[in-house]
Amino acid sequence: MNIIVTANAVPFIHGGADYHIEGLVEELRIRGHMVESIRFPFQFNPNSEVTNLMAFCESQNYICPNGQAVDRVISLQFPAYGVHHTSHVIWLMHQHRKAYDLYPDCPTSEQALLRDQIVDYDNRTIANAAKVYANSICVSERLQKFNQIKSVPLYHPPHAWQHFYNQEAQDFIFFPSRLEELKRQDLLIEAATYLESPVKIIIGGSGGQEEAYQEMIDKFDLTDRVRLIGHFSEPEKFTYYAQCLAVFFAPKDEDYGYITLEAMLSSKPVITCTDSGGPLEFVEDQITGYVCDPDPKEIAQAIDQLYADKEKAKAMGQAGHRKYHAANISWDNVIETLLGPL
Amino acid sequence: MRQEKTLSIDEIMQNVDKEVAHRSAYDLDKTPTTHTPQPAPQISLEPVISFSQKSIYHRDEFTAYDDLEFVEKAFLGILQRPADETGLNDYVYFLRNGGDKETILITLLSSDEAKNNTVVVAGLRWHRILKRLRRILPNSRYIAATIDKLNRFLAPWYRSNPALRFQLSVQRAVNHHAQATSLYLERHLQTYAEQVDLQAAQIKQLSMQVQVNQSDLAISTGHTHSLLSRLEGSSPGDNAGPIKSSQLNEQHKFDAFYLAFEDACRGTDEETLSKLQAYVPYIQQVVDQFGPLTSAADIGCGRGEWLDLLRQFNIAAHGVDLNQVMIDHCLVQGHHVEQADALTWMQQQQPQSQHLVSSFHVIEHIPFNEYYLWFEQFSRILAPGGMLILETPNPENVLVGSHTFYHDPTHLNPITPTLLEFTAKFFGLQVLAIERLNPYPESAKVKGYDELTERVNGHLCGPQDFGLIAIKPKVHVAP
Repeated sequence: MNIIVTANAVPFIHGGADYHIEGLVEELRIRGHMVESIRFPFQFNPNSEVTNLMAFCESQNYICPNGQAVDRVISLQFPAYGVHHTSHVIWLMHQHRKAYDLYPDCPTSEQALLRDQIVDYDNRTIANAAKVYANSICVSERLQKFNQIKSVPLYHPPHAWQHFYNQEAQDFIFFPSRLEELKRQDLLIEAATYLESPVKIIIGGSGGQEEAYQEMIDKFDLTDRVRLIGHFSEPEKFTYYAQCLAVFFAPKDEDYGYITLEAMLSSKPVITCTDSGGPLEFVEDQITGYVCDPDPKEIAQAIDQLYADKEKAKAMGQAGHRKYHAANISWDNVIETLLGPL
Repeated sequence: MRQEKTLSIDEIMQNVDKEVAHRSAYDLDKTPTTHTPQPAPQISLEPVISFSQKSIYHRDEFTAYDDLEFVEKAFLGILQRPADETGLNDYVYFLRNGGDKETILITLLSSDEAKNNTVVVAGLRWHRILKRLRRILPNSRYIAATIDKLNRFLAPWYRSNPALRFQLSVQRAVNHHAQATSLYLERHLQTYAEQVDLQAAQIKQLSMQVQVNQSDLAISTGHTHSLLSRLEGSSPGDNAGPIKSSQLNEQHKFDAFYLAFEDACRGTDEETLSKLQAYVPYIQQVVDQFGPLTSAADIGCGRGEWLDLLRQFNIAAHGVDLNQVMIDHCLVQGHHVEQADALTWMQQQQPQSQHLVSSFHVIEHIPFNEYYLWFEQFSRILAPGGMLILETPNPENVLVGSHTFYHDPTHLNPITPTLLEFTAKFFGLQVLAIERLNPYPESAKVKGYDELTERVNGHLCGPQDFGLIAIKPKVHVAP
């Protein structure tokens, strides 16, 4: 098939989204398809950049660009799903969250106007697609709630999923993520002050909150307990996962979150919170990890329990591993679904 | 289990670094995740012209085909059934001898069978007239010639529509081309896959070479150390002979090869350790007898697996090995070891000084006279009640005796259980047991329980090693 994949490009900001987009393109190519990925440069500010890009995307007709027949278009992101094609499948990673769940309580008139335009755009363009899939239940539910559009959740494996492995647990909790407020590393750092067991905390990644978190560690006098290791290589990542006692991942309202899946692939229990969104689709309290209130004391208790009963920790990790495989999370399944009959 | 100790963050991070380095060093050995080439997508060419059964045809829909194909289509279309063998043969014969297609169509159409089907074929009017003319007019050469002339004259009006024929040939050409292309692609994919395999094999070979080089380097370092210490400690009249660098060089090479070989054939540490588990009751027996002050020696200690096991019983054993790299390895593990010739070392020990002497897979490397002298020393240095444990490949297993024993180029002769037992008794030792160990896994055995199967399994899949466990009696009589 000749396939066009549309998505955004945010220059010099890379993360899970890029793995997702590149992963899809690569997996399609491996299966013998001709794929072009078209990525629209996305700028958050000023608002006119967003509306201009919406208008541009909506003007794009990809049925037969330059006389080249295109069999299918797969769109992943706002506003790239505005393009036109008769066999258009949307696999929604996320909408523009600032117009929805992250919409401010006291918006300016400018923000209100932009939101109306975005909601209108989404209602119009997403409904036009032949099929709509969502990255996770969380994204699917949001689309239903805000736009009354039905979609089917479709999971995919994390980047380099084959490389995760398991080793005997050492006494540390691993939390790899960008250091941002939404990821809530502060919950874990504060939890360390309540720990009764000698478990250490290793936080990987860099980001805007690095200084604030380091100050927090210094202030609580946790330098022997908690370490921000900054950037880590892929092989280091696999090994941190393989050797940790458990993985902590409790962002606020995460869409999907590869970290849960990576922990499951490494047969490790996951500690998450009741308001974390995506991770809750996989983490079952007491079975594949712990689901706590976003309260440092409760998180500390969960960590102490894991330390006290390592056999149980191990069993929970293995249950997570089984759960991952039972969910049929594979590129084969994703691609078969996306290219299926419309 | 080691004692419970919680690691510091730095130690955790160091462990991760070590593991990452270890994994990257051995990454090449892992089976690469290859993407088996997907079969080329089937090119399904919907025939541009497909022959289908219907009730009205034009003549051209049949005449576009030739020969056998034409007759088949005519039967399918007009009689609505596949051609029978006689019909097919007769009409093909007719065509090949100058008969025209239209005559066949008319003949089939006028058959009784066709009348039931009410199939109509347009475009045959002139041919019907022609046929009738030939039938009713008198059979004269002149009339025949006139009809032929008329036929030729009218030909432009009734000739076949060339477009259909053209399309058919295009379709055939395209099909042919598609087949040829996919064949070509498949062949090329195959070639590429082979090249990739070849390169993977080359990479593996290179990585083995690297390992050999690494061992070589380690050995050279060891030798450099010993040379340095000899230089530093040497004085005139020192009995350390002159060092021949060429000999040393050769020894390096052999040692490096042997290490790489051992690495390649060695099981995992877990396997090695589990193999040694069979001796645990015997170690316990020694410990029960001699208590915490048990003194033990392991001749040819290698990487120190046996020393590891003894350590679990709080026995600080003394290891002896010729190979400096092995010695370094054991030193790092904190074992008490020394690089020395086994016989020389044993000769230097006090009589009756050892409670446990062991040697795993060494005696098959030494010539008989040395073997004999070793036993002299075993019986001399063992304390009364002390234990001797010797393990060696078991030649009772036919595959071991005829094949696997010779994997190792430094093996000399297999030692049979009979010889080993006799030797031990000869030197006044009391043989406690001959343990036959490490049979082939059940899965390797021939299935069945009859006598023949059991004999075959016994000889081919039986224990691959055996261990002699002997005690020096309190009243010992040396030969």
